[in-house]
Amino acid sequence: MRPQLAQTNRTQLFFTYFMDCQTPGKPGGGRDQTWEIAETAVRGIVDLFEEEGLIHGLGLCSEPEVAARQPDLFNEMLGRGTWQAVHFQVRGYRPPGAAQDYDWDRPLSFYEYEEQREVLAIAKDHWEQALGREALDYGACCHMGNDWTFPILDELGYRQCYVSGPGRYNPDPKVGHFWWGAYPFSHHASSKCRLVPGELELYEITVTRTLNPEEVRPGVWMPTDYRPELERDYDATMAIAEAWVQDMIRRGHPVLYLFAATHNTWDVGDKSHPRRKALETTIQVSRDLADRLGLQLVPASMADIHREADLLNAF
Amino acid sequence: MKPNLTQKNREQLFFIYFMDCQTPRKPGGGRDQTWEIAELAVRGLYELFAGRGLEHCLGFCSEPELARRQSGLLTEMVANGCWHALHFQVRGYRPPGASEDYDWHRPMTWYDYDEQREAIAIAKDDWEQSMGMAADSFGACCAQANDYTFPILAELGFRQSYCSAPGRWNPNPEVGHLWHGAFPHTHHASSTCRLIPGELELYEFPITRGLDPIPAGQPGTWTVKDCRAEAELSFEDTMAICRASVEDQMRRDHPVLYLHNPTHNTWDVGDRTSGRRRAVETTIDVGYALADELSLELTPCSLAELHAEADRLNAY
Repeated sequence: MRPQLAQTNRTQLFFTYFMDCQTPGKPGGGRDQTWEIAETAVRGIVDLFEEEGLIHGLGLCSEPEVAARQPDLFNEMLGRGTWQAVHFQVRGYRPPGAAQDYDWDRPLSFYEYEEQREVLAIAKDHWEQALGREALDYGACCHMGNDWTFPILDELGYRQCYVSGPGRYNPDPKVGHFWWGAYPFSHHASSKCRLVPGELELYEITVTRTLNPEEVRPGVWMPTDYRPELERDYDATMAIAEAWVQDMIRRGHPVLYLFAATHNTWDVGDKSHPRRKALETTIQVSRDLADRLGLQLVPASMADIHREADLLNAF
Repeated sequence: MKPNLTQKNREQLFFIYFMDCQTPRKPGGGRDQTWEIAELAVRGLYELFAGRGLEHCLGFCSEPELARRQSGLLTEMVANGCWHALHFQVRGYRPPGASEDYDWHRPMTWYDYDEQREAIAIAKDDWEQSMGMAADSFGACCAQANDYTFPILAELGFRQSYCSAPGRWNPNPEVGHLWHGAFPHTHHASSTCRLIPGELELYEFPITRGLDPIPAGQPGTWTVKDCRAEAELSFEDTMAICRASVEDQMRRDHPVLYLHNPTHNTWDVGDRTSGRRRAVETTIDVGYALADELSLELTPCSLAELHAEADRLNAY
């Protein structure tokens, strides 16, 4: 019987952007972050994306603690057209009613099945109670996950996620990055192994970054991305984005996309801020790259990209 | 329900070696190859491996035309304990009873589903009639294949293959290497895309090679270095490729650790003064040295045996 191959969409370049909304004082957040900055950051990025006509591509991905503290803010932004996700950092997490925090020094990468399932289920419920809606999208803070993570997320009802950091490798017990050899682009996740496309309904969307990790210290590898915090200029941003899309084209990847992130740790509304300029540069690069390749830039949520991938019978 | 994760074997380093037995004067073969050289090559390689007690890991992968012409030689090698596969080059292939050859300039990469399925089914039957045994392993000559190849092979009953050449990229119509981004180590193949692990029973074995593609000469083309005997690599260069491949497998928790290296039936392997002969011996020496270095047991095996081990580990 003639097989049904994965197809390719070569008319659109999907553009997705997200803000990791992290809890002040917890690992992963900015050192001097405050709740006020956390709100200013969200308002600033939503205003910017509205002005650019890209609001539909913007996601606000909040830790349960942030969702619980700022539910009105996130519900307001949902009404303005953003997509939203649970963003989760287990280190230092205290579930509602619990007497103590989860271990502040133990990344999720080292959690076994039962304990990982339990905490992810608690966090999902926590977030859903705070925002009054179902969580279908998930983001792993600091790319901390392991072979159990994808099947657990799938089992809990998530449909899209960003967990992996392809190329990142650092086995330090305080870091837990085991993403060497991970599939570099969007794919359905596997219930057997964190690194390969698989049979799960859950669709993993990897962040745009360089494709050849650098050995930054002996035994530690890192790719680089263009988060605004790095304040990259136009040429450096374009180099990463163009290599990324060209690689997808050469390998016949079903959907072409750009997927970048920032954090709720700075005032995005401050138009003089170099990070703000870097964020604007990212948007400009995306528009220019789409033009250069004869593609239509389409702001999209993770769910939109997943839906398009399924239309194409994508792996 | 607790998922059944892929496990890994960190006690053994599996070692496989094979000879592509190609038809003199067909594309992929040596320019001055003869049927006599083709036989000397097989006998010489067998004697070398048998001399080291490694005949069990040695595969002779023959084109249907060659299996027809040298069936006695190949079945003798089966009796000697070697494994076998169908090696196929569609360019210039003339099936039994046919009045003309398949196109001499059109790689399998450009064959659509129906015509590809037909050609491979004919070749399989051709080979099986000559050899008197079922063909359960397949090799794509010159790594020429496309998205249809793996599902066709699975449909035809093949259980193991070596088709991909991860990193090779040359879209020239006469070459057809579209392996940029292909999964670099062993995996079950996919029915939706040639580049990724998938759900098929068919288990694909990329050969051991460099992991970073290098420019292949023409702009926009890439290739990878491997340890084929014809390259006559030194011990150090062979070790560098093999070590990098196994270290990559270890870093990504690949279920099985393996080395899988080739040569061709285009030269006299029995000639002990040949630089290529020394390169084969070097590849074996490197296998043992690397296993020692990593405290692994070097385990000679066939494609089918490594597939069985992968399945035992619930490998993707």
